[in-house]
Amino acid sequence: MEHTDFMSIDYNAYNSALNKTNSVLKTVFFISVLIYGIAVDSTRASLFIILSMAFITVYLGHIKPSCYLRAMSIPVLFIVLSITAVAVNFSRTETGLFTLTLGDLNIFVSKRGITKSIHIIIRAFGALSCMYALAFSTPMADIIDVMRKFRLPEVVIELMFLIYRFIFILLDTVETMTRAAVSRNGYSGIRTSFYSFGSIGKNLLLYSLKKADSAYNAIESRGGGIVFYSEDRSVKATEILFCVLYFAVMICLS
Amino acid sequence: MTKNEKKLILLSCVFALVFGVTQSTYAMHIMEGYLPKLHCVAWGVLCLPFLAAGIIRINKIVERQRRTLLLLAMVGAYAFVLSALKLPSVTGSSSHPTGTGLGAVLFGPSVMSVLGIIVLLFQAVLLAHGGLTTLGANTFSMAVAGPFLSFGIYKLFRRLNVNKLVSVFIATALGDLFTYCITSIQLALAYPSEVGGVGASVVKFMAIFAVTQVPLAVIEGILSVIVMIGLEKYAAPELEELYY
Repeated sequence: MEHTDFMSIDYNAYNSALNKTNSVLKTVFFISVLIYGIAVDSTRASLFIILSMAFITVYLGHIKPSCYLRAMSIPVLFIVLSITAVAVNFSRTETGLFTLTLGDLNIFVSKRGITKSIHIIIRAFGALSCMYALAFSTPMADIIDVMRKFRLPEVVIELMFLIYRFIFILLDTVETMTRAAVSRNGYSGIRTSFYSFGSIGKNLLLYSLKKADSAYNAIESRGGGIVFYSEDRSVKATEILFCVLYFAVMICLS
Repeated sequence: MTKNEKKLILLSCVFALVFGVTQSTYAMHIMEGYLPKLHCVAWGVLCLPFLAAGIIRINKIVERQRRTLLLLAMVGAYAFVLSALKLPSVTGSSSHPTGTGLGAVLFGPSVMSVLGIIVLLFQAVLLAHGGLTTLGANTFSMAVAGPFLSFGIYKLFRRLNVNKLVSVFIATALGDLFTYCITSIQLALAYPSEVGGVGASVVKFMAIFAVTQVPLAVIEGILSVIVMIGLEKYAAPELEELYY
């Protein structure tokens, strides 16, 4: 569970060359491209988004291409399973491009099914690359801060900030517990795996309850109230120009 | 061997390869960009009343006892970390599902929907499981439908005087299965089958995702029980506090 492995997106966001640009601009830009791509639902626009977002993330943000490609492969299982369900049809009478007959049941893939599947895949990866462009350039704390500026309920914002911080505390603990269990053959078989996993789950919950308690005491002893600081960075004219040009090209293409 | 039998064997080999090689079992998080625009908006709107109820309830709890805010945040972080944990040697690299069922049993379902949407947002941005435009649909299936069913079943079974651990197992496992049914319906509504429409499509999605989701529901149930046993043994006072 190295930083470069498990939480690699977060780690890369802090090191991105785009981390220094204004977070409101970044968030609004990537989210509006994302929404536009899904709203117009055109294959050409989506292809443009896939290529341009890869350029923004890898070239402008200095994210390693291997890292970007690995992130792109995360939803492959979902795509394979759900596209199979979209493309493959069952019927007693109809047949398609490829047909497999079992008894009197035809399992077939039609031409329309294939076109539709390709369309869905391209749109999904277009949207995915927008989300990655945001995730790989803006650390979570900045995204939460943008949401605060958009007036989400304060209690939700506080919860998000706290959860984000606590995740790292718990990840450290889990790593230690898992290593302890593995070194005692705790994951050697299915039975022991379940036992170890359940024990870690239970201990982690106890540990997090204790941690929450001590965090509360720490805050109260310092006078109470939780303040989250954020850094405001100015927006450059060239960045706005870039966004406007981007939208112009995208609207022309779709 | 007839031609059809050969085809069948080939098909099953392809399936075995796909399931054997790929690692992620987050298969039921609907990925970014998969749903058409209207579906994204509709499922999001459907979640709003539950989220509003949850936020009002959290505000009330926090007003009474400020300490609880940190407790809830810890539970959210816990759900995130637990959902990312690997359980080796079960299916190579399987993974624990959301854990929202146990959360609903412990804290009540409306609070869990607020924590659930935050965890789902974090999973989308930090782990790339799920997505931003599909956040509404994922929240409805995983943080609203599942937890509410788990909670209802747990309460019902407890009233019928069923053993507590049996209730936890059935509630969390069924909550997980319900989540998977809802996701299949969401996918089917978005992409009705060419032959047979939505109905046929639901059957197809459920059949395909059953491969990963049915074992996961049982695992979720077993693990929830193990965690529950541990909590009752070592953390009875904390549990009392959690029931509010």
